[in-house]
Amino acid sequence: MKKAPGTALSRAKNDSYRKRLFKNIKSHPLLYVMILPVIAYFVVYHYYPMYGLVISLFNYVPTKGIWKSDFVGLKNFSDFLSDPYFFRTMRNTIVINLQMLLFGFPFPIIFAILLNELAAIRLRRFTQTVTYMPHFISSVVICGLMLNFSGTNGVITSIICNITGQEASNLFSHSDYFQPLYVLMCIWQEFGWDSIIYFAALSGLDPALYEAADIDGANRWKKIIHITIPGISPTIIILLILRIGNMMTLGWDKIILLYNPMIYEKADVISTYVYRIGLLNFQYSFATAVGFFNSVINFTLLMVANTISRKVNDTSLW
Amino acid sequence: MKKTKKLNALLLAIALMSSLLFYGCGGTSAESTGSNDAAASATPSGSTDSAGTGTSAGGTATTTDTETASAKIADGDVTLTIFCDFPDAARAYYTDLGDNPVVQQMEEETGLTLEFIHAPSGDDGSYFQMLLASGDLPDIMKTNLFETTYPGGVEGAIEDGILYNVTDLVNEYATNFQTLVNESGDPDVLRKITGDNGSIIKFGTTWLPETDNNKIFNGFIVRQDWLDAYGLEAPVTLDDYTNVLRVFKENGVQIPLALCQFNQAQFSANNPIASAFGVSVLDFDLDAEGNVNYCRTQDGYKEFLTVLSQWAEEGLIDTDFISRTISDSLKLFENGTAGMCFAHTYNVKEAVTAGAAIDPNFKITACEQPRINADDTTHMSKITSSINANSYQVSASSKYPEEAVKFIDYLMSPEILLLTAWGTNNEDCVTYTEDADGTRTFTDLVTNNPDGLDYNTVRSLYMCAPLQVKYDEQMEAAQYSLDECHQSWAAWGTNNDAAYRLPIYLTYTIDESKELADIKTKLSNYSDEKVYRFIFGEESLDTEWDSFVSELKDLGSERGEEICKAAYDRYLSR
Repeated sequence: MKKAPGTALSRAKNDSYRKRLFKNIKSHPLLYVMILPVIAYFVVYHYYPMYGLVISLFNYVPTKGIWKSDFVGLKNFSDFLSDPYFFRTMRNTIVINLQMLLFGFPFPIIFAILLNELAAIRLRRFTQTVTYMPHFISSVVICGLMLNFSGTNGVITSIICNITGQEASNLFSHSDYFQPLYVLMCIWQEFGWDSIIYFAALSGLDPALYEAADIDGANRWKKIIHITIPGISPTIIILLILRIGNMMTLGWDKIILLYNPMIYEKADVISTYVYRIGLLNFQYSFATAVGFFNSVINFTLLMVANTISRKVNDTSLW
Repeated sequence: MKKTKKLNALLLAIALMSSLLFYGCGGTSAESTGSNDAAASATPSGSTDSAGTGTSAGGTATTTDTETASAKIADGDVTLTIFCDFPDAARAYYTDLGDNPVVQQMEEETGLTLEFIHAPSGDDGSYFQMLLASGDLPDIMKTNLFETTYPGGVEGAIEDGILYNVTDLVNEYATNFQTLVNESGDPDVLRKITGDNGSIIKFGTTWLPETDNNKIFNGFIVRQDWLDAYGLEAPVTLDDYTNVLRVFKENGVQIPLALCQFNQAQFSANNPIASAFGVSVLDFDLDAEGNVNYCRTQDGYKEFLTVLSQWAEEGLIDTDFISRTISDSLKLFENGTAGMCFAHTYNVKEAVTAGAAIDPNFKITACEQPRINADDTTHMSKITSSINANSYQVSASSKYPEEAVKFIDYLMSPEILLLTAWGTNNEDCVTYTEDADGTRTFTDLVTNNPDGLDYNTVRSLYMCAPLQVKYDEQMEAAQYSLDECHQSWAAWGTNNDAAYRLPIYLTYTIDESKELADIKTKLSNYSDEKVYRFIFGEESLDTEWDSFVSELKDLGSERGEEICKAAYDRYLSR
């Protein structure tokens, strides 16, 4: 949007950046007006709140305001590092997100490719609609269903117990079941929706490529490997990077709805810990310090993923 | 044109009728439809209007007509927002407490506009914390969270600028409150309602009538009909309990004992099972020598967990109890899924009717608090006396602290105590009758409702327990008239007292209180889930217990004990 047309650029090449920007604004005022709300959104909702991070250095009391609360320095950070559950929340955050990435990320891609191979168009459309519907159900409802189905007399419990022959008991009272159930639930809810963008990428592929492959005698499998996947790989990479950048923040509301003290061992992640400690126990500053940790990890992951991607295959966010 | 007119008229008629049906006998039709509209469109002005122009509908107040003049606090220009309980049973009928006829009468008499904020049904306390975090507080809050959770307690909240220090206003305006204080037979009452520095911290606390004093209101109840069927006696010792639960299990009872989360207020105040081993469930407590201990570092707690994990292994307790409230476990008991549960005397009354609707043979008995030997005495129950933990607090940001104090005091006037306990009792909605000696009796509308509503629902529709400041002596007696209720007090009071509980009226300095709150948070944050994991065998008591205790000590349990001990010593020497 900021790039001016070729001629304007060459003419203004020697001017300072400010001058060029000013000229550009003058020649395309509407474009700049259009971007204003976006900038405003990010400033108001994403940059301004960062100021709140300073309360992690204070013993914050809402009615006193930030600067009148007692200054405690890095105490909240050191408290978190010496917290008995420090390693657990870190471990769970990373493990759950890695599982989501490992299983949740490829699933919609495979689904989109499979569906793309389906010849019956009506069946394809029908399947697509059916699979993306769960995305529109509120996570409160989804988690409520999940808790019911996994209760002592629930459907999922009965199925699992019939297969394994165990005595039926609430699945959400065993920490070992939480992560698989959670990951499966998230995949089930989102894969249809997530696959839409791959459908779009797939429909953009040049049919001539497939025709050429047909003439060369490639079978379906070969066509998928050599045309479809390379064709949508830029989309995959970008989404992967974005996904990694969001890793630590994804879906903690669902964890809050599902977990209970019995399974904190495997279910408690940094964000849920922040919620419990910060809001439920009035420890706003401590929670901010913990949340800050979360953001630092997030940021590092994004940087690493982007750098690797740029080195390996030239596709990156910047 | 004519057709649409007719249609409109029809619709209007239906709307009117349905609102009448909804409210059963909720005051005059004009009043109830008016409030219905106001609630539906959520315009505060709507209810102001109905309060202002409500003279025509106001002929309903029979007992308090004479008081109207003196009770005026404002003239329709003051709106007070109140955070308080809202019974689940009323939620299907009213949008908030403002629809309650008792509240509407209050609005008329005082000239105040009342708005209500309620936590959603099934809230775990986090709603109020969110409210607090938002900084946008209602004028009046009825809660005990400031005393129990807020760092520094009520005095801390006053210092932090969250709560208004009502002491001066109370001394100036709260005449009814002074009367209650003076009339109270409890010599400790001033100690209970004032903080260390003399300011009043429990203004508008709930007062209990003398009949309730020295009673224990919580304990286990069991299905007597099942005990009879299997030839059992009501259990007393822990071995008896185990035996009864096993027999229930063998006879196909799905959940022999329905427990609830330990942090349910009534459960943690009475510490059943744990008290057999001289420890509380989740708090600091006393021992025989008067030392203060954190329960979860005590050997007795290990024994308590051993019993529960044994029961869990045998399938004698509810595997989902950590996500159940008391009312959840009560439902299991009422519908025959569970054979025993933890209850309040009020629940006993509820359970008798609800259970009989499902199983005609349904019969219950309250069991004595479990102990190791039959002649042991347990010391960890809550004995009711004079006031309870709730109190009204006025927020520092309120624009009308004076009106708020006056309103809370108005709730303590004898007429309003009667009104909240017994209902408006106007001609459309006769909830009680009063004979010449002043003895009041509930009518059939309450005790045997023609629409089949249970007592709890009727009470939450026509009376106003959330704003009841003193329980009415006669009403308590009428409410607990069942033999089962009386038996429950007798059973739960047998060999059971409060000697090892820390008095709840200890006062801490603000610094102590903050430090203690911090320590308690850390301790419960660490140990709550560990305790559940021990019970369900996810962690072994034999191997993990010692490291559990030493971690608790690292988190400051000993410092917490010191703080409590110091406060306790000060309390004793006063």
